[in-house]
Amino acid sequence: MTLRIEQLTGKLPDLISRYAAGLGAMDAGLQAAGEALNDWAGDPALGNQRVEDAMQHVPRPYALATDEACQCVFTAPPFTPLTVVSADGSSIEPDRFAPVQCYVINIGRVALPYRMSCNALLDSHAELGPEHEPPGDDDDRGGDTLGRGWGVNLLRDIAELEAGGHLARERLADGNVVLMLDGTLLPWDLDSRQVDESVRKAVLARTRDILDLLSLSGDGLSVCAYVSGSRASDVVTSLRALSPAKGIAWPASDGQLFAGLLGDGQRSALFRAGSQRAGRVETLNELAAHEVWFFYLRAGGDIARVEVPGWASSAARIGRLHATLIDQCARCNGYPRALQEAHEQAVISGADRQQFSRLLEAEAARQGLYGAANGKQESKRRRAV
Amino acid sequence: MTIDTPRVVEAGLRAFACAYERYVEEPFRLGQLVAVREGPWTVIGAVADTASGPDDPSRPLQATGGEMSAAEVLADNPHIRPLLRTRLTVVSCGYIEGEVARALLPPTPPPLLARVEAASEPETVRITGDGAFLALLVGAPQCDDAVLAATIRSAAAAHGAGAREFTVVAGKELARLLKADSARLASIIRGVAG
Repeated sequence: MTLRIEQLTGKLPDLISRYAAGLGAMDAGLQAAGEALNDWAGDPALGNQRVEDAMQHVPRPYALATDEACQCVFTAPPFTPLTVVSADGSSIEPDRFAPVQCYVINIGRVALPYRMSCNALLDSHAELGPEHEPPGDDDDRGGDTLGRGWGVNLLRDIAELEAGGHLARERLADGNVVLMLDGTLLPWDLDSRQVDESVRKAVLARTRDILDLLSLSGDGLSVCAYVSGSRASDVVTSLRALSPAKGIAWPASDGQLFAGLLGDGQRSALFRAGSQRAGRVETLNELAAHEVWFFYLRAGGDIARVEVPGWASSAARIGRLHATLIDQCARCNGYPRALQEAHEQAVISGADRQQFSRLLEAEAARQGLYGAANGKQESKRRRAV
Repeated sequence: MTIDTPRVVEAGLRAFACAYERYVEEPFRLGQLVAVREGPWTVIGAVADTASGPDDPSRPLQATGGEMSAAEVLADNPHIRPLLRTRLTVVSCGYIEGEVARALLPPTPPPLLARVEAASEPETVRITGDGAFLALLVGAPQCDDAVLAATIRSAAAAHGAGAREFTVVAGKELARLLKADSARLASIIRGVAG
């Protein structure tokens, strides 16, 4: 054992008690937040205007009220027959010790029909990249030929969205569909300067195209991105801007706020995500038609953030989504079953990674290419004393 | 629901394993003769074992469902069936090459991923007619008395009006093969009669 646990155990109680004291100090903040929420609901237009004003000065994500009274909570309507579609991805990043730089993206897809006669689908599809010449040498665009800047996470995100989107559209032929994705609705790295500009542009166009396609799919489709245990604080940030209270400890996240407001299975009101952060993903003009709306959902002990495209926020679509999420979470210990199974299809195990590494080395050697000798890597492989 | 056909997933001369894409409640039956028609010859074998369970051993099947029947649980949880597999163990008992049927081991195993289908009545009659196919089964460790009895019963059904005559031929062949093991012979004959 190299981690000396006995050196840590004595310090844990103090750390935890400090955290608990911090939670206790948050009571005033929770009360102020509740009061601000009620005031906001009383005059949402005025509240939104004040939030918009605050947004100009502080470049952070905010929440804006929608037609739903923002202090309200909602119980799920009855679950109706439909197909739940989900996609998730896993990847092998370029390995700088490998003889050839490349990456793997594995996408898992599931379609689970409930109270319907069509077949379930669970499958996965692996892609090897780059397919073409990689982005050019390291320069101010953020890319190079050693795998940096290729944006594998971004490419995986868009592959998930496209796989789920196309499968959802196929399944609409059988009836209503709820499409669930893991994480945020818009690929997070779309605004990352670490990713080559050409990659970002291409993925931005693909994101817009698949969301455009989904937006034309009719009312039978509900769409969401599910963030379990979200630490986002858009609503709290707006409430701080609306509240006259100063010098108090505010909840650190929206999850802490809604943990005290939502009963099991209930959701919060819908909010619109607002931000004036120039150049960030939420303000990209190309995605203006796909504004992110969100609500919070309590599933057991978890407060999840559920993001939906604004065009999929009708009462019927949100009601269907809410009922489905509660049903899915009940089937899988508080997490949507479809997301869990898509993850299981996508996951690349340690053994798979080693096998791919050996395959890559063997094929490279067959073509006369060998990885640069690296002492650290070799020493990790041979751990003899 | 699509009708699944199992495919060869492990191939040997004496035995092969095949699997359905998912869990099926009614796979080929114990002792049923099956045929693999892909490759240079048709390999004929008898089903010696069937097992169903999770495809991924690290994800054991949870026994949930309350008062629901198995069919209701599967319908209510559509992800379960695709994550399960039904596998069969088949013992080779002959092969057919053109017009010639031989109750011998095939020269090569059946191809991996080849479709495994029920042997037709004419194929069954040609392979089993003289009882010689029993030699391969009696010598196979996968074939206990119950498998042998079930195979003879299954083959007899394919002989139609000649079922009784076939059963007598098979009994004589068994008596010859098991002359030093009368207890086993008696056990198999009881199984056939039962």
